[in-house]
Amino acid sequence: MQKRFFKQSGKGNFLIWARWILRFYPLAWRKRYADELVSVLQEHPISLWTLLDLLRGALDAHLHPDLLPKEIITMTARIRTSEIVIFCTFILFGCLWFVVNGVRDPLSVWEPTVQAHPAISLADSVLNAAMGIALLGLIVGGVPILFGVLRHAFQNRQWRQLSLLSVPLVALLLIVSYGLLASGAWTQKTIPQNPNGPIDAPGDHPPVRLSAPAPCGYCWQY
Amino acid sequence: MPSNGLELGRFTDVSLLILLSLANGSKHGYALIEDIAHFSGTRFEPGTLYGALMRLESKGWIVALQAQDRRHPYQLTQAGMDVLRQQMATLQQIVDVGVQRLAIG
Repeated sequence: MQKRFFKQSGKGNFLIWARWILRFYPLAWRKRYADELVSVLQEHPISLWTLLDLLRGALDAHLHPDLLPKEIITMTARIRTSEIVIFCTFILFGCLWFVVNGVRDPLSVWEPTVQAHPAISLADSVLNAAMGIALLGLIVGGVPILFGVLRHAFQNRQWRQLSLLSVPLVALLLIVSYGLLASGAWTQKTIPQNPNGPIDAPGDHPPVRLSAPAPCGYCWQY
Repeated sequence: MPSNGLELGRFTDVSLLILLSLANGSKHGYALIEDIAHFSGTRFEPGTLYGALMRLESKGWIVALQAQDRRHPYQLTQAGMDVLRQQMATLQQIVDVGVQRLAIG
């Protein structure tokens, strides 16, 4: 299998792969060494081992940022990227949290338990409050970074920096689309099967209602 | 064992060979690979070579000269020459001990 791969892949193909692997190196490294390395690769016999060696070199360059030229700029860029990723991830998490909080359990199993054990309700409230505070804190801390990134991207026309900021928007669109689809599916399929029955009666619904799409769709009708 | 001044992890041997190759004049990446393959029988892959070059440059033991046709020739600095001499002395000592002990055995 490996021999066939070597036969089918000429040097040109390997060179394309090698150039692609170079994208995994840090930007500061690429600015300094990439052109040179490509010129070496054009003269050097390239094998699968060469590609693996390049991958290992990329990992090594990321693990030793102190060896790279312009270390401070690299570290600043790295921190900024990490903060944007955390910010976007938490926004996504916050969206999901709001959706989950909007779901009402149609089987009403939870309510009697909560009434019998107030500590559960209290713990739930504390958890919700903590989540709210954490979300608020992240937004307060993240908004200056967001504005900083936007200003830097527009001033330097580096639009790639904005790509990560699309994550919350895409996430929100996906959640809304999913909710609408689930709601539509529920209206078309489930309601006509039992139009007059009590919708909250535990025995009236198939087990599939316990999965995520059906309760969400169900609740979106209220 | 005293420090030999060339502690670069898995790049130690590669770095020594690069310093040795540059001892007789500046060379660019591919010329380094060919020269090292010629005198040591070891042919480095480019990823390993540039990992070592990055370390040697950051330590100030080699310096990149003006690029010629996208390729930077590398030159040994005085600090690099000192490290190489020290390393050669250590290796010579090891060789001497090895020869002596093998002769006794």
